[in-house]
Amino acid sequence: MSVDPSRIRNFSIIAHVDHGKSTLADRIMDVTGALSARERMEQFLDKLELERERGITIKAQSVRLRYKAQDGLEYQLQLIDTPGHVDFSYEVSSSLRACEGALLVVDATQSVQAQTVANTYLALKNDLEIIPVLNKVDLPSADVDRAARDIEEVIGLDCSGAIFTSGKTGIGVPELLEAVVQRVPPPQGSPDAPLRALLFDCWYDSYRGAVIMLKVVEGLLRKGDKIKLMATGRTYEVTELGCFSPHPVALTELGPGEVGFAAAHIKSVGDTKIGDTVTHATNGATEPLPGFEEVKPMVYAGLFPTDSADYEDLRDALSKLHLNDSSFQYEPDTSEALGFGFRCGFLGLLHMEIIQERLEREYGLDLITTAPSVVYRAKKKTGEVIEVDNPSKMPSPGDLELIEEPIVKVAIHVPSDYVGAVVKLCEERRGVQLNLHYATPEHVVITYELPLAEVIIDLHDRLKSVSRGFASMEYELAGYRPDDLIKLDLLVNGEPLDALSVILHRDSAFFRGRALTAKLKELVPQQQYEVAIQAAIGSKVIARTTVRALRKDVTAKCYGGDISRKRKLLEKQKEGKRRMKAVGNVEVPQEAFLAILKLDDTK
Amino acid sequence: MTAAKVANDARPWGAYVHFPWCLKKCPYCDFLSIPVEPQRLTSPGSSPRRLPRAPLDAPSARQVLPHEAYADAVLWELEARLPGLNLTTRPASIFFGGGTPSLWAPEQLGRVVTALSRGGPPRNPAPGAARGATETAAPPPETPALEAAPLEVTVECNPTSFDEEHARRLVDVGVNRISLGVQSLDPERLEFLGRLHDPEGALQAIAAARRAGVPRVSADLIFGVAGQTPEQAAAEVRRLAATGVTHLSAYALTIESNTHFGTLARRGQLPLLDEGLVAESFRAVDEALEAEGFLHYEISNYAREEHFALHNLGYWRGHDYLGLGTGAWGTVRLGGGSRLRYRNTPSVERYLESWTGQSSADPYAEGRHLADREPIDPETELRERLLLGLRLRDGLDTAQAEAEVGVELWSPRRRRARDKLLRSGRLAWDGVRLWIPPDQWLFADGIIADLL
Repeated sequence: MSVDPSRIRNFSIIAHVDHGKSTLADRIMDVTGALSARERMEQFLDKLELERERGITIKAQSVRLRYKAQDGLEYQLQLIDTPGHVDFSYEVSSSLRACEGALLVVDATQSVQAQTVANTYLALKNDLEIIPVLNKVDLPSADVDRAARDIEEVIGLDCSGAIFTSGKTGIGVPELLEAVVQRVPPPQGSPDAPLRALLFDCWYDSYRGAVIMLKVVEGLLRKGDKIKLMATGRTYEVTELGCFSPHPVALTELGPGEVGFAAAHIKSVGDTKIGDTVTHATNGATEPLPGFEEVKPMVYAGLFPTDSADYEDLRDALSKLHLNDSSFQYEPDTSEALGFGFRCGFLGLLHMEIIQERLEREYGLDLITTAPSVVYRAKKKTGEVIEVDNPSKMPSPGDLELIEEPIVKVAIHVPSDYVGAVVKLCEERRGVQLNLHYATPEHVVITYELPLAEVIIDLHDRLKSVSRGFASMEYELAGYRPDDLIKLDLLVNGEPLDALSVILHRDSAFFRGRALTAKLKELVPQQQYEVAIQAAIGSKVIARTTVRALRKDVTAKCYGGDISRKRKLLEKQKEGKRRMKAVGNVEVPQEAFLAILKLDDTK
Repeated sequence: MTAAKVANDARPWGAYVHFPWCLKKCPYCDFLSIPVEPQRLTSPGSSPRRLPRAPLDAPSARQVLPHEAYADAVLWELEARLPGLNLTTRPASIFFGGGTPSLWAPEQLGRVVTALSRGGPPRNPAPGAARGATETAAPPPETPALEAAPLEVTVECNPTSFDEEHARRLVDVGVNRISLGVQSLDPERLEFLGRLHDPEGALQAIAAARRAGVPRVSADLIFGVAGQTPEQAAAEVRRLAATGVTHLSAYALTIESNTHFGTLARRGQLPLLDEGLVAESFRAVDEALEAEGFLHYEISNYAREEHFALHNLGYWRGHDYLGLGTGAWGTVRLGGGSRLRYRNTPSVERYLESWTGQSSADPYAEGRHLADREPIDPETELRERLLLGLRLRDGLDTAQAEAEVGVELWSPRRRRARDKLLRSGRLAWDGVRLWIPPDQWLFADGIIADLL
């Protein structure tokens, strides 16, 4: 039997990375008795090892908890976990749409970060009741007054009812749960209406196929029901229903307002769309829930095996990863320099790094990743418009009428001391200032329109470095705009290294070409012959450096006392070479392909 | 005992004995060496803030060195170490390195030679035993018969502590090979290298060894020093070849970070020869010595006829070596079959304290007597076989290495690396033997790294 909606509270936690979301979530499970003592290992909700290392929640996991409130009634609290990074904002938005309330967790020792603000706005847009929570109040450096004032002035949210907590000690957690019961509204929805359930998460299980996470908005979903995913129109039979508490518990039905998972022999996560509406195959709803969008990759990069014999392994690994994460795309690609590989599309740079790391760690592959590129729109003189997600697809200048690039609106939160440096950085990156707002005398919100290509070239790192780590940023796509863009090629010993080509603004081509050749000179190890590195636009060479030939690379003495040390040195040398790709007869290290991301603009 | 085990235990092995003291520490040397100073006999190094003292001469140094106590300690160590190893043969070679072993009294060094050549120490090497009396103890009946193969006994000697009489005394105690630290025949370079001898002294030392009837004399030489042309390097080795030495080690000067030269180089205060000229000198030395009839049998080693350094060949072929003495490294197969590399403490005090009598403690277990201890698993051993074997002109017998180590060499990745190197002519392979063509030796490290 499903629970009466008046006893259900669906809520999520909005927090910046490191502001203690996972610890607090674990503490909530503690207080409600969901975890046994043995299971109280840290951050239960962050399942994957990789996420734990990065301190980021990528795949949302949602937990149902029983809570006896002070009014003597038992409530079904549903915590809906959200991914915590800018690349996953659509997933965040879908998760938030499954809630009626949200905890806005701010680290009382720090200030409000851009990511938090963006997600809070997403929550407000979805009419969520927001409860401000000042966390880490046990730390001596906590300044709750300042943090509360920040929330009020930066976000415009009343903090008089803020709850003070410590995920570490558990202070304030009972008060927090009471506030959830009292302030988060119960879900509304009639059990008699045709079924409409929001699909807000999905993962791959090797026994069950794609398992979907749902919130029933109205109607009833029972085990054995025939369901339809409205965006794809495909139908399935529900073979299993359940919820996490936090361990999986089998259920026979989900009523209005309830959250749970369903298995239905769905082959891969690619067959499901986050934000889609699930209804019954017969007599289902006619209108889907609002807010569904197709997520499109924003950043593309080539992935190539260092050893071309690993191509098949890479293909298998990608298809396995894709089963579990359909938000990245891949298709076969060939490069003259790198051989056979894949062109992959990602939601953002972090997403790209995560996929790359998982391929290397979980599948033991050595990869060369090419510099990430955005999707340009090239209008040819023939009138044809093509999407250029790889510099090699750029039409030759003679055929090109116009090229447009994606523009993003970037909101940067920064202490007032660093406004000058941030503005300078954005101007250098072809930014157009939209707004500069002193939310408080210390907290400034700067809004710029920037080409996405300039954002993915280390803008985040540079922003952190010019603001001593204090600035935070958040961006959203704001359309396409034409500009004077050209393709810059790199040549090694006269041979174009297609995987190193980049599309750049003409004004920065000379500078970046020079910086790139200089960087490559540092990165390309000496070989037995001289190596010339050139940057060229079309046939015009604009920069050149030379890597001198290696004259000797041999250890003079190796006797009994030298062996261990020598072996370790050679193993290190081998480790370095593992990430190199032979291009013609030149060994090029993996870093070289990402050199464009590591240029120092200040030089 | 299985047949494989027998074969295992019958493999040749060597013994390395370290004698740590020197008259003076050379600025390029990163071996353990302790300058002899009467008041600070036993501590390595000296405070850098102190003004350098004028070094002692060899006779004065010999007066203050603890010749007998050191030999006693080495013998106790040997007695403790041998039982853990299941050896059925005596060593194929003994090498006294340093430091400067020519400062050690030959009769004391001889006690160690005697004990090792019998395959074990005398029953009672107690400090009280009279000199020479130690030879009376017969091997106990349970000791298996030892192989009677010729034993190579090498002592590293320095021209400043070596003459014909010393050479004769060494020959008398069983030494049959002398390795002389000549380093250069040019007065300025010798001074730059911080050597205490002059070219004349070096040539006299070689002549003395030959007159004393040392069957094999080798000289060490350093080339690639700032200001030296490849022609000069070649001329120098030709002069040395003409002295009658039958073995030459010619090393390109290597700046090790933990040496005085290392410090100077970091500060940019050390004149260095251009890498290209060092490479040319390497080739010039090779050509000169090959023309003189020497075989370039290892990256830095040349021998006439069959006068290879057998002890060093043992290292390059992956044989075990028992390390004895302060700071010595050893790599041995323990009774259970696992391989261990260890290094003795570099502190002479600690070394002498550790080996003052019979000890019941496991000499291969961690303890104050060891500075380092590294189990070598079969994969690692195989990698070492590669990196060592590929230094030899003959290369590595891969079938033998696989059989002895028990690990397959040709993983798909290594096979691909090999084939790529073969295609570019940087490696050669006849199905069993794998070697680096001598014209690629200058790039050996990169080639080896590809295969590891």
